[in-house]
Amino acid sequence: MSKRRFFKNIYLSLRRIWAETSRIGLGWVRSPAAVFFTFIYPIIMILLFGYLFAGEGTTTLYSLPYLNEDTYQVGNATLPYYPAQELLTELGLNNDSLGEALGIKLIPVNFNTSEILPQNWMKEQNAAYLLRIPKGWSAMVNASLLNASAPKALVQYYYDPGYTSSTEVMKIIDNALKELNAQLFNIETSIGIITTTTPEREELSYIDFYIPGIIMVTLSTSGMMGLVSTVAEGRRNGIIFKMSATPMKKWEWALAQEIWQIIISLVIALLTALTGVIAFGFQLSAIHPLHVVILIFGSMTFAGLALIIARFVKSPEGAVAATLAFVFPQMFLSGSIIPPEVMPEFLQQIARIFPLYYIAKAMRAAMLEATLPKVWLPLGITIAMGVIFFILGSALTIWKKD
Amino acid sequence: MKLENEHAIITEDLVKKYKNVVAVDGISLKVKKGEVFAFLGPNGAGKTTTVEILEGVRTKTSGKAYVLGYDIDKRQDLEQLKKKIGTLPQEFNTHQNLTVRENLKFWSRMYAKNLPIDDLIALVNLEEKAKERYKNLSGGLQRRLGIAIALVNDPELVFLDEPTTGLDPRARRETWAVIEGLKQKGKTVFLTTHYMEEAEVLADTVAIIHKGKIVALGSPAELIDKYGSENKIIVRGSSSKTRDLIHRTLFQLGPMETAEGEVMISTKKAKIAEVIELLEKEKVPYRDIITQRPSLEDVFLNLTGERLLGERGDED
Amino acid sequence: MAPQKKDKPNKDGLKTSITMFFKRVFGFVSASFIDFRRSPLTIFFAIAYPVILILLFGAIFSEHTQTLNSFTIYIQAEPDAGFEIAPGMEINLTETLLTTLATMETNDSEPLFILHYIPLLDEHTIPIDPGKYLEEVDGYFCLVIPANFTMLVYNNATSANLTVIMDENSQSAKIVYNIIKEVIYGFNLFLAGESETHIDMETIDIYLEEKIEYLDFLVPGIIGVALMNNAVMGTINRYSSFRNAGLFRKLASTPMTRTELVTGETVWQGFLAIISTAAIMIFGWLFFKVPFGKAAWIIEVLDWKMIPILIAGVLGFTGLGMIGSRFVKNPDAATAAANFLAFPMMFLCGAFFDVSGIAGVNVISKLLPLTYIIDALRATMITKNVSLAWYNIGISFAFGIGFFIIGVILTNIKNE
Ligand SMILES: Nc1ncnc2c1ncn2[C@@H]1O[C@H](COP(=O)(O)OP(=O)(O)OP(=O)(O)O)[C@@H](O)[C@H]1O
Ligand SMILES: [Mg+2]
Repeated sequence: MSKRRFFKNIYLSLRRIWAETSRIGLGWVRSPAAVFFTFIYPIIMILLFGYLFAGEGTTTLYSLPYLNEDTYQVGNATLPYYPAQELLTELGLNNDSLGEALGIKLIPVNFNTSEILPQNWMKEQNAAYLLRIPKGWSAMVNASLLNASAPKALVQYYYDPGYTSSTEVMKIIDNALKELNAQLFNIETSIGIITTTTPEREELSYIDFYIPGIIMVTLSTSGMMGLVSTVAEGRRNGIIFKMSATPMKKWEWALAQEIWQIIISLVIALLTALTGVIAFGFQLSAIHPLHVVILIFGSMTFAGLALIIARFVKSPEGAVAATLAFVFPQMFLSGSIIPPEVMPEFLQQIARIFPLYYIAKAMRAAMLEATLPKVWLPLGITIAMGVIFFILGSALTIWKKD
Repeated sequence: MKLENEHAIITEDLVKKYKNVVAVDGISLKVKKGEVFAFLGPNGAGKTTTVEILEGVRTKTSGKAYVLGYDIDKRQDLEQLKKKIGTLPQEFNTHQNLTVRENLKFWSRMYAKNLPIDDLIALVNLEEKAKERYKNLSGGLQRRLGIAIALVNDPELVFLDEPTTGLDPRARRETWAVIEGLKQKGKTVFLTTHYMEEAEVLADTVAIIHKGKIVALGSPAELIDKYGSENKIIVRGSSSKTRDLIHRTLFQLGPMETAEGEVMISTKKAKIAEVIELLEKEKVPYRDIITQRPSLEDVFLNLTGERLLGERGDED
Repeated sequence: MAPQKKDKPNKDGLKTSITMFFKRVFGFVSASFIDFRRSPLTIFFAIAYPVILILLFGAIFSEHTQTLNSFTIYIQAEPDAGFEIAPGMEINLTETLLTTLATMETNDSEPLFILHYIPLLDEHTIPIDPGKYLEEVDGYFCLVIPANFTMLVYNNATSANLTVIMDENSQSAKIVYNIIKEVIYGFNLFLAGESETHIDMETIDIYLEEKIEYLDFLVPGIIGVALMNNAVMGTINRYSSFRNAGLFRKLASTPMTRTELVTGETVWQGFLAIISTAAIMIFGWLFFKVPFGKAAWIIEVLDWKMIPILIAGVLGFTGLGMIGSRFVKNPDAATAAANFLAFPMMFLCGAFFDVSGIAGVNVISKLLPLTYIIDALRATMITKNVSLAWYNIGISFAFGIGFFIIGVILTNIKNE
């Protein structure tokens, strides 16, 4: 083959790829619904998961109803303490900023426990938890102050286990009780704990680590859904087969799809990051140039996967179903939304079958100098996946009718 | 490797089997360069299947096919072939949100060789709609765009799968003109159709396909000659006396059938003028006299015992 | 005589029209059923998706799998010479602390902490910075014990400090920190000569009898989600493809009335709701109840009040779907749109974990009908809180009937 013909072929190939990529873009720009969803979906995702899982931008404030039955009189000459009051103060009574720091808001309630059991009162009121300071509690505390072997003074915490937050509230009360115990009984803290964060993370907050993960989740989900249904649709309306009767080659077509996915991924990533900046103060300095590389190969991976799914599931309907069945477990198991270490061991193992697991790992590792040496393995895997899935995806694309 | 040949298409015992049906059942045919070749057959006959196999769009079960001298089984041949053909799929579709012009541009970019887009638009009379998005075109205009797209690379061979289905009579005639024009330019056209008239008007060669097999092949005239019924000359008289007279006078022309108020003569020899002459000579009173010439429809009917289309009204 | 004559055909007419009504509704439902078997998306949303949800969240958050975890923590301890508190009575707090940590156990008697020791010096006898070391090994928690810790504790007027270096982004680090804090609190008590706290808390599970686990919380949530997905997405998808295929026009030309169409759709959605509910309960039961000896669960949670809740949900979400289908043209886009909207809804309505403490979200959740349906199901199936159940059923019905009526009004088959 002559040199000229060689270059001419490359030119023609690029022209075909460009034709396909640009027409996807043009079609996208002209479909208001597509544009809307491309933009609104990542914003919804980042806000949703930012608020729900990262606990950013909002204070978690559990309303804690309390029933103070303790009518201990202030002014006992020998012991001027009113422990019930002190416990409530410790929990942020009349001190909103303390309450917010603790994460609870005390709400006084009043009912007669001889008429209605607290359990039943809660059921009636649909209350999730209740702190009850029983009658004579302060007196008991004071008794312990005089006599070390006096029985323990107990407050009662009623909770509805249907509320997953009930354990958190319990811990908050428990801590307050410990503090109070230490104060009242003059327990010296002989051993203190100083906490520091790992050196390099000091400047970054949780959300800074969280957002890149969410970006990948969003990209993989919307990218795969989009591409799978595009392919299924192209097969249904026959345009793909009409293409196959032209000199366009299968890999050129697949590459054009991938290029579009990469372009749209970059747009989405930027948009999500900006939403993060506005809503949660995400620090753009957390972004490393390697993130762009990960993003590109990540979206190639998902585009390739989408082509593989589209190969096996032919109807547009079935394609959406199959994609969701893959994307949904991946979203939660790959460690981007729920930290992998809180999951049981066997799930952490299962998570390894999802590409997002490695991509998210690479994303995180690239955030810090210290973990940067650790980036190479997941990054290598990400790049390898991008290339392999692209090749598989384009090889498996059905380019001929059966 | 390319076989130089006077034939644009040669197939040998082409077979395509599906689970439950044999869609194409041993088709062998030759299409000469520069001719319009029509594939005529009812729904499900295997037309689309055959065409798509020849376009390289569909896999085949067995058999051989050479298109423009290229062996469609060879990957490199197929690549070369694709540069030189144009296709209009039966269920033609193109990008919904792109305009007529943009769609033409898009498909042009697939090929090294391009015709000017304005010429293509003019060819199918879509000048006024050039800036309209594809999805906003009427069904007929969409199909016309499809024909233009089939021609973007100035192909040597054009496959048109039912190019006029769903078009109004005028648009159909315009499409015919386009196809005639292609023929004039020396292109080979492979077209499938349900319409007898279309095949009769356009085709140099007609293959009648039925249940995956070619049941007849030849020029329209040859086919009619060979498989068509005789001409029918129908004399609509009023009285039984007239009918008797006709029976006596014209018996030598061929077998006759008598129905309510009319006599039908099936004949190969006689022309209507002769019949009129005879009737005038014998002073047989009649009200009206008409002829029915055989058509491909009759050919088909005779070959398969089935009508081609459910109702004839569908044809116009 | 006369009134009898008049009466008879009327009665017959009524009878035939009722028969015809059921015939046509039945026709619609059976057509839907055949369609269902061929439609992967409907099957997916009715069965596969809720089953994925129950297995996924059940596995992630279930108590049965949760408590099995051990934590890997790093320790850098300087040498501790101990301290003689009384002649012949030597104490070494560093040792005591490390033994305490090493012997703590998880619920199933596995060690709670896997301790890794960070050497003090590297091969070039340069001190190792524990923080950097932790980052390099990708750990999340490190406890640094100073030299002669025991001496420091006993001799110092102020407190002797342990240092914790942790990755604040790690959930595990937080858990470990809380445990370590408890341990140290115990040490402090001991050092102060107190054996235990004087004030404490008694915790009372108000649904103790019902023994609520995470799965019990999850099952009603996912039933609610499935109801919503089936009805909203199914109806939008079907109605818009009906419209695309000109089926509405065709139906309008048959004697099928709008009431019959809508009844047919609702009856069908009712079937789907039952199928989904059964699938969710059976899978949740098989995976998270039967293996733990709670086979009776599936009977215990059944309650007749589930029927009105399902009906309310079906009515409301079918109505919502009918309203939605007024605004979409392309059924595929509709599915995508509905899915995008349904996705956040699941979280906002507290299907997987309760959101009552999250400011903002808890307000939004009160505006969403799904919240009430899930709450009604929880009260009915799990907590058996009758008054709460009826309260939520009431709200669900109000919303259900409201949306349904609007949906029916908007479904004008003649004008399609
Ligand atoms: N993918 C397929 N799977 C199974 N059977 C098929 C497939 N494609 C076509 N067939 C069958 O092959 C036969 C021929 O179909 P084909 O589309 O070639 O007919 P046709 O002559 O083009 O008909 P029409 O005039 O309706 O376009 C039909 O019986 C059809 O049902
Ligand atoms: Mg066909």
